[in-house]
Amino acid sequence: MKNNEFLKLSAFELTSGYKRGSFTVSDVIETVLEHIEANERNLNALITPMYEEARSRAWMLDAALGRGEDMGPLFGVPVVVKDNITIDGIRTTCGSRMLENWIPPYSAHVVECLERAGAVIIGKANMDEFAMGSSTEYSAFGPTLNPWDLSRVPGGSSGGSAASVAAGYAPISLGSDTGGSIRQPAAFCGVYGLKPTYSLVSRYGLVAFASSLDQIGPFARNLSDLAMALQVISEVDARDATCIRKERPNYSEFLNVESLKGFKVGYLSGYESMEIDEEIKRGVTQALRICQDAGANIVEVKLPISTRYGLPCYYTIAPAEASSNLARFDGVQYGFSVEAEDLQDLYLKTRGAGFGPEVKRRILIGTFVLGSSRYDAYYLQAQKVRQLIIREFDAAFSEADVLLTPATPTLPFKRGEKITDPVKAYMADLFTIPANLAGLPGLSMKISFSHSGLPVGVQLVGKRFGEGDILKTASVIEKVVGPAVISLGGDRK
Amino acid sequence: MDMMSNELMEDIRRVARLAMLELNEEESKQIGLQFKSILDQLQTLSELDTGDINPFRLEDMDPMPWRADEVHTWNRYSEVLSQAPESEDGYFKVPRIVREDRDEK
Repeated sequence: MKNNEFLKLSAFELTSGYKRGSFTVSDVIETVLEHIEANERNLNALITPMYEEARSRAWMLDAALGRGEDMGPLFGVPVVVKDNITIDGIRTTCGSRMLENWIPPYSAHVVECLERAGAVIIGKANMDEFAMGSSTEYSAFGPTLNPWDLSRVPGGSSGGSAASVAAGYAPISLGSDTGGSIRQPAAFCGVYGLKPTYSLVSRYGLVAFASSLDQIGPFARNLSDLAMALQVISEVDARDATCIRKERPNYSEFLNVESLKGFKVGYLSGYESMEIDEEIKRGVTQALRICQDAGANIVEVKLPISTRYGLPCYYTIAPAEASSNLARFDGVQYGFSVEAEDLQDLYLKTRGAGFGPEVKRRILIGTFVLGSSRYDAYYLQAQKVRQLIIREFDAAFSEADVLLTPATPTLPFKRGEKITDPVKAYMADLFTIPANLAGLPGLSMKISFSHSGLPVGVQLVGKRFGEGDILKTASVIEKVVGPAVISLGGDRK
Repeated sequence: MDMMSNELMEDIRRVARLAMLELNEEESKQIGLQFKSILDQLQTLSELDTGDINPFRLEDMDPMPWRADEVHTWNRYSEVLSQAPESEDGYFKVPRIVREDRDEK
């Protein structure tokens, strides 16, 4: 096998290769690290590559294999982790100057899970500062580029995680999704990205943005890897009080379906006449036809409140929670700090110089909507609208088992195109935000390529803990359109 | 600048102070320009009748589980303190809190 063939292998193919003795973990990790070194100058998908840690971990795993020790489900699989998820002893920046040199003394639950499963973490992924953004242009460490077209954005905020998987750095990565931050970049980079049901995956060690909306989830190039990654990271954890205690199903089992007979797939009423890219509309129609051909009943569902008011609802609640969560960055205990005369001066100057423009904007909006004279009209009203959105989804799921919608209104946009107009930029999350507000699981996946060679994505949304329904539907689609493929600046490999 | 934007700029300065964010003139202006269009969007929520809705309904959610209240030892305090901009004798150190000459408002 030629070494760069390693980059295309799935997690499953890697673990079986190690088992057969076809190649070693060090062979694979060495190839991956060389590949990263050669491409990072262009892509900038990683804030902190972990060359030395990955090499010594690979040696350790090869030695364990030699001793005949048990292999975890992700044994020797390279994984990239978003830089708002802590790893003990490795700096976690959140894409911010505020945490440029912060080295956490503990690992996130999901990182412990990955390590127990035998994974090799190879780097920390670039992201919009504190996960606020849809293009990864708001990173203090420079933008990540889209592997399909270097003049375009990879989406965000988990743009580095999505680009890493699309560019062959790793078959699996982790991101976080507060309003679409996994699903929108997955669609832009032509890979799979899953936001699990709120409370399925522990947020212990995830730097908080909006605590009632945040979830960690996996990216992958095929569903079998995605299901395995979800299995590994969704282990019960008491350190996140919201993490649900019930037993997780075997997610891989949902992928063995031949037909969708008796299954109901809902589509968004009137999507054909919405302001969406024509090629994305065609993608949705194509995906619906595949489901129908597999025996599913296609039903129309109406989500007028979620579609019309999801954005303003989210952009009230998320900044409100962020303004509270980000109060901890004060220049006292860790992170960036500025010399100051007195304590108040320290707070003002540290936060003024440490945060970037989008974070400041959202802290200000959040503080504004929580102010005593605005609380009822803005924040409380948004919470009530959130309840309406939950009810609307409850009604939709009495008609359908899973919903199939566009993932984004547009194809990946050009760099610099939306950075000056936040309201326009916020539109990128139109189809992903409602699932966060209602706590539902959502997956985005590539359905086809546009005429210009850009990935076209669709989204599947399920009931609470309906990850199985989503995987089942997606696997029927994957069997027709094939898994995701690697790209580096436009040439498909 | 008209009256409306003066009022808005005053609002932004007040909110920035509450949020402990120092903004320079350029930033305040930039944010002022965008703030209005963002707030206009947020205000569309008032079009919806939400009269009797309980904004924090949780009855459909699974109850949060209790965890055992166990003591765990953890002794990496020096690592934590080493992350602080300033520390002394095992404590975080901050600049003085009260300044005699500050004009408190």
